[in-house]
Order: sequence, then C-alpha cells, then structure tokens
Amino acid sequence: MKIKKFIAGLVVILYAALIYFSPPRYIDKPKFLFLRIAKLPLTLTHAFFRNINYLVLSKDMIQDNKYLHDTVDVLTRQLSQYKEIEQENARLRALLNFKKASLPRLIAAGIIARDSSNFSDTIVISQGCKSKINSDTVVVAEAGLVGRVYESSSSMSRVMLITDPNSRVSAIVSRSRQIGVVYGTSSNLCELRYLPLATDILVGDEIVTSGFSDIYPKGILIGRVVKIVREPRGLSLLAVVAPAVNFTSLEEVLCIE
Amino acid sequence: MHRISNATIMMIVICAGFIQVTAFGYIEIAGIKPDILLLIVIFISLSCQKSETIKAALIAGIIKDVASSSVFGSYMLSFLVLGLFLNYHQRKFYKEKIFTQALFGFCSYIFMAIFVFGFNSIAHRGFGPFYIFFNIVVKGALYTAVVSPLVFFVTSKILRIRLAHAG
Repeated sequence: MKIKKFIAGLVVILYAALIYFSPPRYIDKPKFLFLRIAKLPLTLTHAFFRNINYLVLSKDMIQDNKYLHDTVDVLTRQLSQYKEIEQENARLRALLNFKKASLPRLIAAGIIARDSSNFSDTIVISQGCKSKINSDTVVVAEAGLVGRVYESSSSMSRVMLITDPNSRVSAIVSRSRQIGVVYGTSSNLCELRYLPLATDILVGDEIVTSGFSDIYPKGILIGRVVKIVREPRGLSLLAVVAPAVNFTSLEEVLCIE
Repeated sequence: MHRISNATIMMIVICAGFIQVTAFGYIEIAGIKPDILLLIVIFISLSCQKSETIKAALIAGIIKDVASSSVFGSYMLSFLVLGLFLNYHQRKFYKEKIFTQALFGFCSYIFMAIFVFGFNSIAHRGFGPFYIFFNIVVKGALYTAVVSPLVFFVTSKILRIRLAHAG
C-alpha cells in the first residue's frame, strides 16, 4: 500500500517537473488527439443543443426577423450609395496612381466545442493547419473581433477569445483616436486600460483594433464602451467594453489568412 | 457502498462532459457556467468505491483538460485528489440535505480552482491577474453550489443510488 502511494506521489512530481521544463505545446499535443476522436459526436451534440436553444428563443426570433427585414431595406439603400462612392474612389485612385490594397482571404469555420472551465475563454473551431490556419491567425465574426488562434492541429484550432484573461488587444477609440489596450476579464466584458485621465471617451463609443501590433489588422470592431471608471490607483481611466460579438450565440467564425 | 459498471461510469461522465462543452454556453451568467463534471465526480466519490472514484475522476479530468486551455493533466489531478479525499472521508461530513450538497459543490470548486491555478503557475501559464481569477472562482463556486442539489438528484435517479444509504 505504501509503495502504491509512493509511486503515485512520484508520478505527480515527475509530471509537475515535466510541465515545468517543457514547452506547453508539447504537453498539450494529446488534447487535439482526443478532440479529433470526439469531433463528430461533439458537432452533433452542439447542433442538438443549438436547435433546442432556437426553439426556446423562437418568440424573440420572430421579432428579430421583422427588425432584420427592416434593417436590410435600409442597408440596401446605403449599399447602392456606397457603390457609387466606391466607383468614384476607384477613379480617383487611378488618377493618383495608388495601388489597390489586396483584401485578405477569409476562411469560414464552425465551432466544435467551448471552454469547459470558467478560468479561460476559448473555443475549438473546425479548421486547422491544412487550411493555413496557424497560431496568431485572427478570427472575426460578422459583428466584430472574436480573438486569435492560440494553438492548431491539422484539422482543428483553439481560439483565444478577446474575453480570455490572457488576451490583450491594442485598440483605439474610434471617435477620439485615443489608444489603449483591451484586456479580457473572463466575464462577458473587456476592459480598455491605460487611458489618460483627460481622455475624450464617452459611453457608447466604438472601440476598434489600432493596427499597432503584428497580429490584429487595423479597424476591426471590438465593442462599445458601457462604463468609464478610474483605475484603482487613480492614474488613468478604465473603460468597460461590451464586445460587439455575442459569444454565447456564436456558431461560425471567419479566420483572416 | 455501491458498485457501478465501468460502462455506466464512462457513459454518465462522457454525457456530462458533452453537455458541459456544448450546452453550458447557453446557460452561462456573465460568462460563468457551473461545473457539472466536478459535481458528477463528487457524487460518485461520495456514493461508490475507490476504484470507481478513480475511474470517474480520470475520465472527467481528461474531458475537462481537453476542452480547456489549461495545461494537460491539471483538472485530471485535481479531480483525482478531490475524489479520493471525499471517498476516504465519505460518511464523516456528508448528509443528504440541499444545504450540504451546495456546500460540497462550493468548497470542491474552490479547491479545484486553487489546485488548477497552482498547477498552471508551475507551467508558466497564468489565468490573468489574481483579482480577476478570484472574482471568477467566487462566482463559479456559487453557481456550481446552486445547481449541485439538482445535479445530485438527477445523477442519483439515473444511477438509482441514494447517498443517505450509500454507506
């Protein structure tokens, strides 16, 4: 009995030593193996609960549908105006000999699983290295920024959401162009930090990526300011940001190659 | 103490795991969701034998590790240590009352969180600033405590075990 306990203790100590000295990506390799095995049942279970959620929310969806139809009409009118402006822009660019900026390729991916714990906010998506999705690939949804790829295997990737406590995004207040850093808090909100006390920022202001990093391109909507407070030490302001993306109902994402 | 077949343990833990990683996104409050896998491990360790506790803790831990970004093995070890502790002291503390079930859920969640935090710190993988971690732990423990009587009730119905008569 004592030998068994000794061996069990030894295994724990050896494992702790192993994870201390080896890079995390080697320790985490088996995770994708398990996920690959469980991919199909996970996808089916996800679809099952998603449909149940639809049934529960069907009343709200009728109202949403009406609202969306009205919005589509407004947006269609705006789109025709923008097309005019785009053509004008193209003509003016040609006159000035500007090179056309190449648009990035977007890869669609479905969500297979969500984080099982509360201490981190990650999702597993159905695309990986085969589709040229590697670490630090930026992931977006129609509404705005989702996060970045944290680790990837051949056919799956784990995405760190912007609400994860380890997430940091260089951001800018869209209206006043004030720069800050968006931190995840593992709740459904983020915090925009390092804003000078005299910053011109209001509740409702849009926060977008600043482009001052090697990872996130400029101008992707992160969210809107819902509250402004002083940081605990009182040296700067802190804005609480509600992400533009509703992570609870997120089903598909787009990866920027 | 009850005996449950390996197939039943695997079935119930895997089902709980699938629900945890797919459905619980819809019932989270302010980004916090309860930990059903932890509650299943607590239930089995309080009602079954040591070998069953180890099997349930290992399977639940692997599922939890696979579906989270924490270092592989941290949840597995925390479930194992917690399960064995509860199994050893099975009848000393536990009474089949809603408050006791909620208290077990709350305390076990706090233990698991501290264990996982420590283990991930060894691997140089933090969970952000400590005050955020603390905030999440308290909320998560409370939510888990609230759902624990329901999970215990459903699990006991599925396994046809009453904890009061388990010893």
